[in-house]
Amino acid sequence: MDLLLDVKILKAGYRDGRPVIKDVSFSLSEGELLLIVGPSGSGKTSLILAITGVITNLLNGFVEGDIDLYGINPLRPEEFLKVPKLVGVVLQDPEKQLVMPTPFDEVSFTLENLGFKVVPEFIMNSLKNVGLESKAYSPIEYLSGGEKKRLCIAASIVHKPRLVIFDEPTANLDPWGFSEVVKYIRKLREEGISIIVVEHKARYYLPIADKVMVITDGHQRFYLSRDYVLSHYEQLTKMLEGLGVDTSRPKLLAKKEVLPSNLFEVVVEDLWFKYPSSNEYVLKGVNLSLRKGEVGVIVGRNGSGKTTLLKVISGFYKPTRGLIKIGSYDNIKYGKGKRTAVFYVPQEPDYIFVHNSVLKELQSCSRKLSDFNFNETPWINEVLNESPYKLSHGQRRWLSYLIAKLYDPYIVMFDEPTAGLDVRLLKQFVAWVKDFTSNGKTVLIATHDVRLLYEVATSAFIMDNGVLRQVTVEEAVSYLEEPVGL
Amino acid sequence: MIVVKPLTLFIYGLVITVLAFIARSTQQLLILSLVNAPVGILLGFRRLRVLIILFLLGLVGLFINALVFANNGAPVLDLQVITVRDGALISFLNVTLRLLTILGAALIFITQSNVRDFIKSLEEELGLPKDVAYTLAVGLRMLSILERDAKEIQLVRVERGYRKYPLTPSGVSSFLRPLLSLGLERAVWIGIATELRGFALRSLERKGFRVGVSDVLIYSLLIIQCSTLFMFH
Repeated sequence: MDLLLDVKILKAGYRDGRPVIKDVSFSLSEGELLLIVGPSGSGKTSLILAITGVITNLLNGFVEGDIDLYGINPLRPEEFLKVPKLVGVVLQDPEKQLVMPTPFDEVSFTLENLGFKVVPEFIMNSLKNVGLESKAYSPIEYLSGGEKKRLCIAASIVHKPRLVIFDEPTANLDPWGFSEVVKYIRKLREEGISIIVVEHKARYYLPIADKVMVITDGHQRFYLSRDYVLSHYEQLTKMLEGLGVDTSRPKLLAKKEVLPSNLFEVVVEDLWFKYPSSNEYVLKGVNLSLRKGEVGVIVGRNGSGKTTLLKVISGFYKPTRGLIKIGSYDNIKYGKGKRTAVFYVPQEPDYIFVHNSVLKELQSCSRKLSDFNFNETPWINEVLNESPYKLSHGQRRWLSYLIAKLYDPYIVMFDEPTAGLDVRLLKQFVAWVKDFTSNGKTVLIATHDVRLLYEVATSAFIMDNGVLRQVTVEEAVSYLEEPVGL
Repeated sequence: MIVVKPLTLFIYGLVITVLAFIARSTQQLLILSLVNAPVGILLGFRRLRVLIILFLLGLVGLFINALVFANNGAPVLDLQVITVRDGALISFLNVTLRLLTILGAALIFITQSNVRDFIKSLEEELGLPKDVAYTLAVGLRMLSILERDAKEIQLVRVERGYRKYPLTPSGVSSFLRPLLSLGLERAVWIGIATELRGFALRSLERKGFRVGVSDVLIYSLLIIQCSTLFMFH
């Protein structure tokens, strides 16, 4: 097999001069799949940006070492221009990658850039390959998360590059979207296309990877061959799990903890809701009740109505009909009462901030700062005068949890709180939830994360096209695991 | 169905904006805003409500500005703390009509243009550099994402006990800060993604400027509006 990529990086980093990648070397031959795994913030994405020449050519960063990508050095500006023809890169967040109004336009844009003639039949065929033929002219805003991700793939590989790089290809996807993307990567692998996958959910790729690289704190910890991975599978998965990499199926606890109270904190009865701009009901006769200290977890497909339910319970939208009772409040509305009753934490933490320093954010909440100690988050004391937007994504997310806690509500609702978090950070969040509910507070979570469901749920619900049904935690886990049981 | 080329709409929007700045009298501005604002707001109300809301929020600042810098002439209203004079009202009205005209033309352009066709026509027909054309096109694409962000921020503001629509300068700043932060992060990644899809290699062949019947209608409407500047001079 011909060598496609040969990487020897001594140091690489951004404009501040601090190296974020150190001593990384690997090679990839044609038709091979390299899996790069490591915890959040370990430098996986930076490594991709380094080997494609983005760090040096677009971000004013530096790379010390050599990179040979099919005979070119992407670090040199004149050769960087050749990279797009050889490599297709699918970034983590489709919202930060898609620029055109429809899938047809998006795929055409790549071809136009690279000097190919735009032939509609060819574009439709590439959309057909990712199952988007029928949505070729639909506005991109109306595509699901899985569809957007598949569109990113189509737009990145329409010109048939020799190497395709996927950065966290399944982040933020529901199990169905997840399954579609993993199946597609496997299909590309069978077609003999060279692939690099960067993931912390390693378990879906370990069986098909030719090489596995483990990276922590920017260092290459291990670089393993397929034979080694298969012969030391158990040992390897255990070691990776210790590093925060998701490598094994979750195991259900035999019995959940006894609930601290029999008093109902949240009661939703026959709740119906439709948006004013639509005639179709998004929530159809939803019933839900949670006791004090309970953790309810709602699972379901993207667009099934989970987020809408959280927002209606939060009082953001008025129900079309039905009853919502939070503590002593009936059909809550905005205002003083609601502020102490419910707090909704959106998936994007930036939405929640209103002040220009962390200290002011915390001081503006209902409860006094002195009521809390920040032992679990010592970094907070070091960034009190910083703008919340200068924190890392993980820190911003954590700050949003702290704000929720300081509002001292009866119930906190989280929308996909662990999206993009590795196992280590997920465990920290689980500890947060357990601590919060130990004081008789209630938590309601909408998620696709089977590990979170397994770790915290005392009640589980499946939302299917606006209809909510209560199930056992085991049933909910199977519901999420079945589509990805590849 | 009438199909107008994105380039025609772009030129229309650009010329109307220039006219709005050149026009000095209230009559001239009234005619321009009456032609453009209702059409634009009607077309953009569902998709781009956020722009209309931001415009309405801006009116508060506009009125304060008029009170500070143009409050002269005959007294119109005595509010105890301040007397509002006709100079302030006339300048407030003129600037409002000017902005309404620009808003209307912008909404007509945004709602009736396809981003990819727009970039292509700017490059192929007008010969504009690809970076300028692309920046304009991505800006348009981002409007719908910006609107979604703005709605989410409004909800969470209310939850935290703040006004849904900020009225004070610090309120506006707290509203815009997350919008800008998210926008900046997106802009960086979109730039990287676009370069990795070969944008630097993009080079479209220059084609001539061709005009259809619907384009002629739009240009005629534009000429009529230009003539109002002379009629009410």
